[in-house]
Amino acid sequence: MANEQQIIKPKIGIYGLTGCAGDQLVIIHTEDEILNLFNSVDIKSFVMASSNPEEGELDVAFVEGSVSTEEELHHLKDIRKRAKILVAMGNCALCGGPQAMYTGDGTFDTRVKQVYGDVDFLTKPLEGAPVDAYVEVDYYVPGCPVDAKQLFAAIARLIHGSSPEPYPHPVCHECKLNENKCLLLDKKFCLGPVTAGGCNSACPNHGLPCVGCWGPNPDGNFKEHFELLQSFGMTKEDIVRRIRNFGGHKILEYIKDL
Amino acid sequence: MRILKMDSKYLKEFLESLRMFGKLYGPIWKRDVLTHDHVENVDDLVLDGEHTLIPVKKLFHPKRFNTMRFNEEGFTPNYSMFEKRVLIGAHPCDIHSLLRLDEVFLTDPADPYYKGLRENTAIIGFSCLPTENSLCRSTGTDIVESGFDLFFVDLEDIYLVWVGSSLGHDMILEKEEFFDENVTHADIQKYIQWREMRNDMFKKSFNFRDMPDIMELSYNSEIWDYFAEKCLSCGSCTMVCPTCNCYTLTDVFDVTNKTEGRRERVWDSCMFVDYSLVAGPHNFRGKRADRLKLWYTHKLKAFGGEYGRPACIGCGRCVDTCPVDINVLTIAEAFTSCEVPAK
Repeated sequence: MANEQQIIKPKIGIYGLTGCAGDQLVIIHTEDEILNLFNSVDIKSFVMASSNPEEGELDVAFVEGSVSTEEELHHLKDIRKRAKILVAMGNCALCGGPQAMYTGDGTFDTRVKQVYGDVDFLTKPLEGAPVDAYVEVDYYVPGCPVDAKQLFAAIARLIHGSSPEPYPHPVCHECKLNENKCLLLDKKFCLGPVTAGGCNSACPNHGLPCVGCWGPNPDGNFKEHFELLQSFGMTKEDIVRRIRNFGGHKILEYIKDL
Repeated sequence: MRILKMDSKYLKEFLESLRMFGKLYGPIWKRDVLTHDHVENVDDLVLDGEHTLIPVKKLFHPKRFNTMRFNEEGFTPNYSMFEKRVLIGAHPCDIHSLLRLDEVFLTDPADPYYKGLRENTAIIGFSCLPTENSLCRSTGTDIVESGFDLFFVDLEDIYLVWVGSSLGHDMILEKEEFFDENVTHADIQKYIQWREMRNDMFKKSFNFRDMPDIMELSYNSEIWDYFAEKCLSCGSCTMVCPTCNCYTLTDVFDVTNKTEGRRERVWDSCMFVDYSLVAGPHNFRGKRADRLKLWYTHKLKAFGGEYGRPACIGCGRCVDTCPVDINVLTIAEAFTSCEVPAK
């Protein structure tokens, strides 16, 4: 029985839609784990690692990037049909990413025209949207890019039939574990308390305020945080503009009443 | 307790001599933040009374570590962090915080990690002067009677040195020539003046002894909602509190094997949304107001019911740290002035 289980490895697909491919790169770059992963799963499709994908049934599909073209939408729907578990990986897949920062501002067609003029596209562009705007997502691994330790902990759980541990804490948790002085006390524009943690407080560790690149922390107290930032002399418009840089689609529901 | 006198000029050499009892730890500057860490050079030690950002608990209750490796056969605990250590520069409030944490971690069944770290660490306490937000006079933790091996009171040209254990006695013996048994009337007067001077330096205070009752009476107060609207749920108050000790455990499986892995332990906070989340899913304290209420009623009341006295040791770190001014002072003031009828 044990042998049989070892022979039948879980089938995995790793896909990229519109994004910088940084999350896939994290997988490739995690030298400590990459061979363990290749030994433990049957990677059917991972174009960044091999240009010979086999597109069939999957146990787990990891999808990076936002849906930004009709072609990508068809691709995503096809992945969803074939995968038992679909994991959205990285900020673009979770929130839409920077390409979704103007979501809802006027019409998408007007914005496309402003940027590209009248051109024929190879595939119809869509307003950048998170993966769960179109298909059901089973698990979310946030990040910009994802954190290797968090991602591989999730992978280890998923390929062994368990569910990943969520980490619903703000950036401030790890920021304090890293013994950083709170930048808000110096009246710096830091989005740590309203941003999903897990990055090991990468920016505050270097004295740089959090820019919110992991997307919204659903438990964030946005109202009070906006008031605090305004008390530092910032306008609400400026705060909204900056939080939308990485907040994409998802931030809108948290700031709609502010 | 034996009290000796040491000329201040011997301090550096004496502290250097403590290396034979273990690796030196104490407050040093790193990236402009005062932190308890390994001391390479005793000149780096900051013994003037300034507070570290993260309290001394981190040396006994590590922020993040692997507790064990496990497989189908069982588990192997990770005790690799145990080493002989000498902690220099613990303030009275730090020592009180450790005595409070002992109640939590050393009560049977003892936490083996805390116990091992505690038993292998000598405590060399140092007197301090109040900081801007020190509240230890309110909480009765501005002086110590136990919990140290040696305790140095800085009277400028001399130190009075309390010997609190046989290990402390051994440390003195190694450098016996530095210490003088003869504490004079003049020395005693100097000490008394220092105590009075220090007592007069406290800028802030709160009614610590009334707080258990006030917390109990205010349990259903709407004032909690006022603070809940402000709270950012960043968890900083709990990370910097010397007596907060909650942690979470996560099993991290090996990618290669579904039955093997490690169990990671990380400081947790009752300010976080999943703190009271259980199967179901049911969340007993999903609301911010309930989380704040838990922290303050535990800190200022319930801990006392279990261990004899409330857990706040008056270091003032919550006052230093909270970006939206929710701390023992603002809580004590709000609940005393608005909820409890005036006398």
